[in-house]
Amino acid sequence: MSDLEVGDHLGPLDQVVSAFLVREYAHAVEEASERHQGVAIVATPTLMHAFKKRLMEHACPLGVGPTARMHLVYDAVCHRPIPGGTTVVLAAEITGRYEKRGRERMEATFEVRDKTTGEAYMTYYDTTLLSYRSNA
Amino acid sequence: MSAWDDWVPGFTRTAATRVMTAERMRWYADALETCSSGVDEPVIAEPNIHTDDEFAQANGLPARVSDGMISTNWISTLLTELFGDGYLVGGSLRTRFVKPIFVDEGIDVVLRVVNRERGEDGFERLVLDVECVKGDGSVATGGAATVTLR
Repeated sequence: MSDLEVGDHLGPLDQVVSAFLVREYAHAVEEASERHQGVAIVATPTLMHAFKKRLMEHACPLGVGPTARMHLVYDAVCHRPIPGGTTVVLAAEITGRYEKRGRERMEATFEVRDKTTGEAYMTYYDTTLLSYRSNA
Repeated sequence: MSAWDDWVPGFTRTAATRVMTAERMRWYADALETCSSGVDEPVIAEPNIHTDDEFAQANGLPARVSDGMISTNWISTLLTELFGDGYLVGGSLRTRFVKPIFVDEGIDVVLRVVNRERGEDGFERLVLDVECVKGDGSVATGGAATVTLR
């Protein structure tokens, strides 16, 4: 992951947003509403973060690099909720990579679209510190 | 009289204090691994900076720290509770992880109205400052959200 460059594209990757995943995530973050844990459920917007992780790991099977990353910014536009059971397509582009205060940062834009209709569910702008350690 | 009459610039809403526990860090770490695995089976996360003090210290941290997405989730949940589709359809949330949150720290989620205006579609929209504030008053997670009043 640490060798990604600006302009690199990740995906597309199919993701089934199963009711299991929706409930599992909602349960872990104590989001107890019927909207996310009932029968006709939709995904919490922040489930996108897990899909980001899956896409990154799919695109970078060798792993994150020599040291732990640190997530800096979550920035998501919710176009519409993802119903449980929907198959979506995940895709991303690396849009920035730069050093600040001696540590390297990477920016990426993720899109989540309906696999059948192509309609957008979410757009997610992510900023990650590639290494928490300044001397790594 | 509307439910949103109070939601004008300067209005602040604070949720009940939550404590960031080791359990909450573990729940999220496992859910993140589960939901990113690509299969519908529970996964237990390997030791990382959010679950293991020694792992965190080996990476330059004093102890395990909360995944910033936990506090972001607390903000997102409050937005969903208050605004429903006004957040989930066309809304946005941006959070920046300013300071680490450690085990047993109390966190207040605070929303503050910055702007309220009517859009071309006839709906009113709010711009909110959002924060997760520690017991000492410092901001651990800060950012902004936009919602529609429906």
